[in-house]
Amino acid sequence: MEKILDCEKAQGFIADFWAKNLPESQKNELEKHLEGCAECREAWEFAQSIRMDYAALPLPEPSANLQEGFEQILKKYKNKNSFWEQWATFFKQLFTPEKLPVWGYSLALLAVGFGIGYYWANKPQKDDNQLATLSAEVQAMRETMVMTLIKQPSASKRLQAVSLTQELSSVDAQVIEALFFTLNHDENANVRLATLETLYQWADRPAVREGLIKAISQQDSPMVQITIAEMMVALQEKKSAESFRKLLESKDLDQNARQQIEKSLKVLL
Amino acid sequence: METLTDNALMTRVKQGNYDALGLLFKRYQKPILGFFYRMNGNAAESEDLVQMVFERILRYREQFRSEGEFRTWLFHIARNVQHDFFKKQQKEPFNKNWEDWAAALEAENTADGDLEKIQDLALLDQALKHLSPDKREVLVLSRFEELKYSQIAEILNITEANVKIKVFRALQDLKRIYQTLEHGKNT
Ligand SMILES: [Zn+2]
Repeated sequence: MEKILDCEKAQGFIADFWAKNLPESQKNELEKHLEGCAECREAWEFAQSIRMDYAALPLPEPSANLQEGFEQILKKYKNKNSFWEQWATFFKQLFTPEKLPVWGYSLALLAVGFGIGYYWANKPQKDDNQLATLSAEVQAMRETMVMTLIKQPSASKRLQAVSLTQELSSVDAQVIEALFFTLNHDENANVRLATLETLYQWADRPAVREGLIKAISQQDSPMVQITIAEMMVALQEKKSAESFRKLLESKDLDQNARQQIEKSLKVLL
Repeated sequence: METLTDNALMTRVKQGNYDALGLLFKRYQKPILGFFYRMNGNAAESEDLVQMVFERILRYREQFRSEGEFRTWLFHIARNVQHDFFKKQQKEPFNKNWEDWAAALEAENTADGDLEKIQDLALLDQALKHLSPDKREVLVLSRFEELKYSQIAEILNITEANVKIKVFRALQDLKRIYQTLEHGKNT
């Protein structure tokens, strides 16, 4: 176990060397490791053998076309910007005195139009009600499907359930609860990850946000931990910091997840 | 006269002063062109991509955060443009196989003094082109664009530790390719 950790560090040092950023003290430390490790030693010898003045290889000079193309793009954007100014001129032209009779006629037509519209809008709305009932039924059917599928033993069925929830026009507390149960207890990391991404869509709801923060301590898959950490940064959710700090205390935490969480914590604080 | 910082110029662009982008273009057209050229090896295509980068800067100018570093943001955009370009082309650049390159190098092999150094560099250049794009990318950004690993981490949206792992793996692949090419050259 110790050797793996050492290699990781050594390989980081070799990467630093490539970036011309390896201090002498660390170089000595690295050389000690290389005595006993062929894999790292080979990579190190190669990194040292290749020429450092590689950047001396010629690059193409920017051509006149490039400059010209850039100026065209700039011009296009400047024109876009004056778009509203163009509209302003257009309207000014419309309201010149000689056009007033035309406007009188138009306004009369418009008034008739409003009258007809008003009549239609106040007609008994039988059709609309029928439509509303129908879509409520579709919605209820979908919800039932979600709730059934999400309890299936097959992971692909459960994944299907999760993606179905995205088609629901609105989700009620029951569905959210089912999703959180899946997020926290499903044995399959892919299902949990998909659930997480679905829940993220409704992250503007306080209940969903709170549930996500609570989930931090329940997850053991690094991918899920990393994703939650990234989401919390995107949401700027400072309340999650406490849960992350607790997670960092755990010895079993995956190395990559630890790095992402530490990175996220820095942004959140 | 005081020169304006990148961020000050970009802030002006954000406010609608598009001409300020002209100065940023002067500063960065070469590094960005270099990045694309090292990634795809085609000068004309690379110029098109540089233009796309600056068009995206205008389109997404509102997203620039003045607390951030302009250069990092710029390379983040360039990297995405390059990525989309690969995807659209549905092909790997530098599709030649190693034997072709080895043969080409052999034909040029009229060894004498300085020529040897140039050939070493050319060999490395070719080897780099055979790396997978995601590996080539970290090597190009770090060594040739001289971005720090912390900046590359930001550009690629991964941790710094992950950048180092990628660089190390890229070096391992590069070594394998380099040695194959070298072998071809010497036989
Ligand atoms: Zn090692």
